[in-house]
Amino acid sequence: MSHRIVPADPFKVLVPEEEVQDLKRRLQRTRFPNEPLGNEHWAYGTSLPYMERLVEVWRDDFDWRKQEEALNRFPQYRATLTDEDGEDHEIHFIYERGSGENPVPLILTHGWPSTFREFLDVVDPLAHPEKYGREGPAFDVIAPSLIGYGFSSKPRIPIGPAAIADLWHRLMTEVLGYDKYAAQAGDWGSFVTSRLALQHGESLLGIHLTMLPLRPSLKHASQPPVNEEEGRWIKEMQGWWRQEEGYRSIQSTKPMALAFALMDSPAGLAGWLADKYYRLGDTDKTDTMEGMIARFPFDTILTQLSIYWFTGTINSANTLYKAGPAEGSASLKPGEMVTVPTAYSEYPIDTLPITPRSWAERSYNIVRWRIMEKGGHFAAMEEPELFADDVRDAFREMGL
Amino acid sequence: MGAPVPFKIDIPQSAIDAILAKVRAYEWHEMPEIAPGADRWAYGTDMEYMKELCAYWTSAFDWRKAEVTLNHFPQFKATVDGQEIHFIHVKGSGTNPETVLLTHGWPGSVFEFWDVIEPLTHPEKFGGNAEDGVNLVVPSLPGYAFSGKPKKPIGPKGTAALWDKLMRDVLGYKDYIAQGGDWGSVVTGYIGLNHSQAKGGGAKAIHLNMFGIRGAFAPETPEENQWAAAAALNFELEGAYLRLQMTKPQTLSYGMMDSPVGAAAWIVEKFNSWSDRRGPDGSEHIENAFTKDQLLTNVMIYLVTRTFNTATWFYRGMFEEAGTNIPAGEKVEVPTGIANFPKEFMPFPPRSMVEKSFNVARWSSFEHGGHFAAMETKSVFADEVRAFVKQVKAGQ
Repeated sequence: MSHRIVPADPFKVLVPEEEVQDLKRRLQRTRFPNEPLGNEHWAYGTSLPYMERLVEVWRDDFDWRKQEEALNRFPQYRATLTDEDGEDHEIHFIYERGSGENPVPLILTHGWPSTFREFLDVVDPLAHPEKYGREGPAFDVIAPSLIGYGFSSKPRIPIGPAAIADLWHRLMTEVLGYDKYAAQAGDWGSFVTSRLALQHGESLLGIHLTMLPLRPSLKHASQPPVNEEEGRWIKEMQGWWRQEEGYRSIQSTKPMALAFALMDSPAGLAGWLADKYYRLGDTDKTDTMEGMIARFPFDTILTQLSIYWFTGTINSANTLYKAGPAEGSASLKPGEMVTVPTAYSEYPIDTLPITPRSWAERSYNIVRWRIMEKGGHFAAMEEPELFADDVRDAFREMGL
Repeated sequence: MGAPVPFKIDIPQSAIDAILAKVRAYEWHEMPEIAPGADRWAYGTDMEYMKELCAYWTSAFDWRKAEVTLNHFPQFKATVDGQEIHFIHVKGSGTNPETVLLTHGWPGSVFEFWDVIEPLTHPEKFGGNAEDGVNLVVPSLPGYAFSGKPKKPIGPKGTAALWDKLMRDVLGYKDYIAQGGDWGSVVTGYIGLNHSQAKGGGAKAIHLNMFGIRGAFAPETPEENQWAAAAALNFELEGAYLRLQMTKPQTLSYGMMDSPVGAAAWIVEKFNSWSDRRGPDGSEHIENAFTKDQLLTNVMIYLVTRTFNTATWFYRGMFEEAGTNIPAGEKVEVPTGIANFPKEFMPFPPRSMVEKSFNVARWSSFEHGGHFAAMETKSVFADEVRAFVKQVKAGQ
């Protein structure tokens, strides 16, 4: 086993007390906006009563040290990789070795507005299924912070998923010494993972996705015309995006117009991100306050927010939306597709239509297709047990 | 309909101090590296410029001086249909002045018009003819500055109706000419469409420096197609703020209402992108268009009134009013003056297309100036509006 010694620096999350106190002071002097009538269902964006409660809990009740301890529950490292332009990237990652003789290396990649915390509750069940009375495979779990996110470094200029995929491959092979590995992701992580499969397919044992980011070149002769179901789905998706795309639109064009406020105001950061958890999570939208708290307990969402705040990464995280489209890496070239075996599990989001499998098969070698009964966009956080079982089952079915 | 009550701006010192304390305490952070010579605003607001602006803000900028400036003209508040409206009202020189209603947009304020108020009301002080003086009414949009904050979003169509009542019922003007850019051009377009004298309102002509409301006409000529393609691309690059403010203003507001530097960066970015920044030597810089005092006075109007949030509601209000299309079969029949400034970020289509939606009586093109035309070109803008008023008065 060439990967016994990890050629990377051990890492623990430890935020200076001064910064913890500074956060509380900022929260203490938060000045809230007013709210239009009729925002009970977040129709105009993040709810004011929810925000008032969140800020109060963050300031008075939230125990960062306790969450820090939880984040440090698994071994973490930082590895430095130099890219083609000579820039050093420090990659932070959880690395939990799996049980048994032959654990399968698995890299889990989070997205926006999330962090490596998203996977915290599934690391142990994936690494040690026997502890949970589950069949294998067991995994060596690698859960990095995206470049520009959490405890990874900030790039000098934003880099996109194709560039990050190259770094991930080097992390898995050069740093950790694996020849072959599996990958799992949603959101931006699914872009990175899809690029991994396209750029380093020979090393990928299989991938498991909860979002399908690649877009086929529909004009190419190999692509059949869009069928009725796909046409309906595309139209519904476009309608959904018209209502939801504001954040993406600003982050992909003028992230620096937004950055000054979000880097200065923890409440501003929370307001910007909470909307996505509400909208994309499987929250009960009848009682919006209690529904949100039940799905994303304050400890969970505030840990996510605190990681963004303490690392000062909201700006470098948002700029991924500028780098991604600039790289053009989500558009497949004519005839190009992911040949690596791909399992797709869709965690339904109430306002989004279900993806037609025929659409996915234009871009991916789909070997397993599941529409899950519950859990939203942040599945590993929302439904950790279901998520871990599904990932394990998928890779087992792929023969791993 | 309440009678107008005189109004003066007088912000408590504690509010100013609280803002400046946050600006002083701002912790600067990284921004993506910009290659030497490349556009430092390529990712949005340039941090180097924000540092410079904030240094000036906390050391040289004097709100009390700005307040004196802002209190220079007679101001009033009146309640129209339950909405409190703040407005400047200056009587013009001459024996029989026409009345002009000037409407600002986002992220501007009545301050945009500061340098054109005196030349328009009292042209004789600037070497002109007193008989060309006009009465000016310059209101703050609902939810903006010193106007009241509505309980829920009001859009441009609703505002046009409020403005017509303000002009006729509150101020007693029988007729008036409306002018506007940005949201002001949309409000003004609706005034021309729905509140003309022919439709029982008071508007007898309108003047626009941005293409606001329009009929749903597909482009036909090569020039029209070229404009439509450029407008679509421009919307992709510049339209994010609009998409966001039109759908989820509340999501943006927590940061902007808590961070003065954050709000300033969001606003100043627009003053940079939308203005004519060309200097005499051909290089571009925001301060070729505006001084720091002008930028900060405008930003402070949002901050001291705590209206960043409600100002963005106007976009949502437009959305709830179902957009800015002129209904099929209708057009703006009142004489319409068009002022086409070269660096307007949403340029006018070819005249052939504008004429499908408006009764174009005047078309002026300029060598210099952008979206904030009154602020950027001052006398050029004033001369243009005065010339249009004379044209309307002469019945041309």
